[in-house]
Amino acid sequence: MIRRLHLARARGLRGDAGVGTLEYIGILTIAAVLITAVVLSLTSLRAREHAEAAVCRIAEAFDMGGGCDPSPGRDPEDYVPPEQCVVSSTGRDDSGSLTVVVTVEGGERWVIEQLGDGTYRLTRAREGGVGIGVGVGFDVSVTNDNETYGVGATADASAAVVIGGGESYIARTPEEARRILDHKKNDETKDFWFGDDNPLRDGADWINEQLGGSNEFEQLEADEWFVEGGIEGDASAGATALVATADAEATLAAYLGRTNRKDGTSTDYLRASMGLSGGLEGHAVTGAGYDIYKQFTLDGEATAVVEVDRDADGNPIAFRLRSVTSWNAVGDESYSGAGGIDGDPSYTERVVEIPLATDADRRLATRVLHAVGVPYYPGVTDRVDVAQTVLDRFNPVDLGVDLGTAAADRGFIYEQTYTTSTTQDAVNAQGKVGVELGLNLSAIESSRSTTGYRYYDGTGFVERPECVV
Amino acid sequence: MSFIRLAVMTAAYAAGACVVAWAAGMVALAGLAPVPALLLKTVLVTLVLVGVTWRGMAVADTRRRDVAVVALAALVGFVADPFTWAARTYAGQLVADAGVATLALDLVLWLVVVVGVAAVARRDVRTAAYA
Repeated sequence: MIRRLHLARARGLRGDAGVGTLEYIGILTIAAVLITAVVLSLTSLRAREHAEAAVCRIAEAFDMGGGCDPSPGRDPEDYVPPEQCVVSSTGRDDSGSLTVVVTVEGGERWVIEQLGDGTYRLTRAREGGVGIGVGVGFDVSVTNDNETYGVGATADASAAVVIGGGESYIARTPEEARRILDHKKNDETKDFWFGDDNPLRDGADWINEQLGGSNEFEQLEADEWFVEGGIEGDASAGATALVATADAEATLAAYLGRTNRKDGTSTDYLRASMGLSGGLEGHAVTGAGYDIYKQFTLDGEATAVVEVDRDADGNPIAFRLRSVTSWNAVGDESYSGAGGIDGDPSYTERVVEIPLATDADRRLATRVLHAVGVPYYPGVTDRVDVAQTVLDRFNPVDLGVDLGTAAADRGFIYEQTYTTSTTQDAVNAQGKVGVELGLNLSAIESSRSTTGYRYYDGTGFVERPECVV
Repeated sequence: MSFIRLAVMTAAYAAGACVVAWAAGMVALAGLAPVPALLLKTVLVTLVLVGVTWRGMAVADTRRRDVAVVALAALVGFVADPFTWAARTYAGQLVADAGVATLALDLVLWLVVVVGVAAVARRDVRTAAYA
């Protein structure tokens, strides 16, 4: 009997070891994609900027002129990135999860973005997933306006498979975007309650109109829609003691998705992200007996996105590398709670885009895809140059320079910085009672303001004022 | 049990269930989450079925076959309810997406409630009459 137990335990450990190896490979892969993509975007941005600027200045210093002109045959306005910039946004994210050994999670979010051309983009998205984790300890807490109250101490790690999707609509005003959001929610409720197209639904719509309501945007066709799927991992440890919390968390995620547009064009993307956060925050009492809120936290985040645009016939037409990085350290105290602390993180997003018009473009895109770990992409990676791939792996800076030069000559290079602000309300209960149990509900309201936007115009980086708040 | 009484009961089943389901739908459109709204609809439709059946059976000369006749009236009322045409009559959406499964489940629940109430009401009326 004891021997059987030992054998079973050994088999179990062997199984765990396999899972651990897979997790390790997964983490390393995502980290490699991220690091390579961030290095490429940074070097491609700087190489061209510095080289051009240096040549231009030296030439001008010696009264030799030239050197500052954009690429021949390219007007200055051709350098303006075609992608609509986001000036500001507001949104909300509702999510929940239930754990009984296995965790089932789901959520929906919406965001209304003010775009650089004066229009507004409403995006609605839903996601759901299933995962599994291990942990110790328990936690029962409530979060209100970013302040957490409760008791518990936990340490856990989890992984989940997640799929999601959503759609976007362009509106002329923020009020119209809000109405589209309300009407789309009503449409979903009516679909559920009365059906999509039957006499009952017609009656519901008619009565709604007779009562002064409107069904105007319920059947509005989305301007673009997306589906994506991926994996998420999380490891955290923390403690909550009535009015103070201490925690540390590491997250990673990788998603593969496609965005389709009304005009038939589409974009395929691979997104990888990692985050680290931790710190101490909560209420304390001063020597004079006043309540004071203290926050000492450090957050870091990096995201890389590889995108390929396709035309209406499905042919790859552009390749884009996007990276988003953020570091945010907060050490502050306030007599008015968490709301009195200025701890909004600032993000820097860098984008390098090249057209896929020639074999040389596709070869360069192939080098970047291979460098970030994407072995194959139809219509782009038709030829494999193993030697070049190995070279690029060991020397991504040269690849970044090549990418930056191509983007400066024929594509687009741009960078924006923005700050985000979030307010979270949540309830959480988790623990181990024989098996893992947990319940979490969360609502996060967020806003974003773009504080800087610049793009390469053939001679150097210039500001784009219409994209900044 | 007279034909007119049965006709009135049939109409009351269909119209009553439709009106309360509609009302619950309006509450859902006003912001109540789907599951609580479905539970509300289930309670309201149950009240309609119980009320109409009990009121319809409240005659002293009910016979055993009247329970079957009332079940037939309930079946016709079920079919006449516009929500049945959309497979959204009763509590089925609590466990499945609207479709054949919810239609079958709703019908079974609908008849179980009506027949159960009719049987209890008949016994109650006969007991009262003997007393």
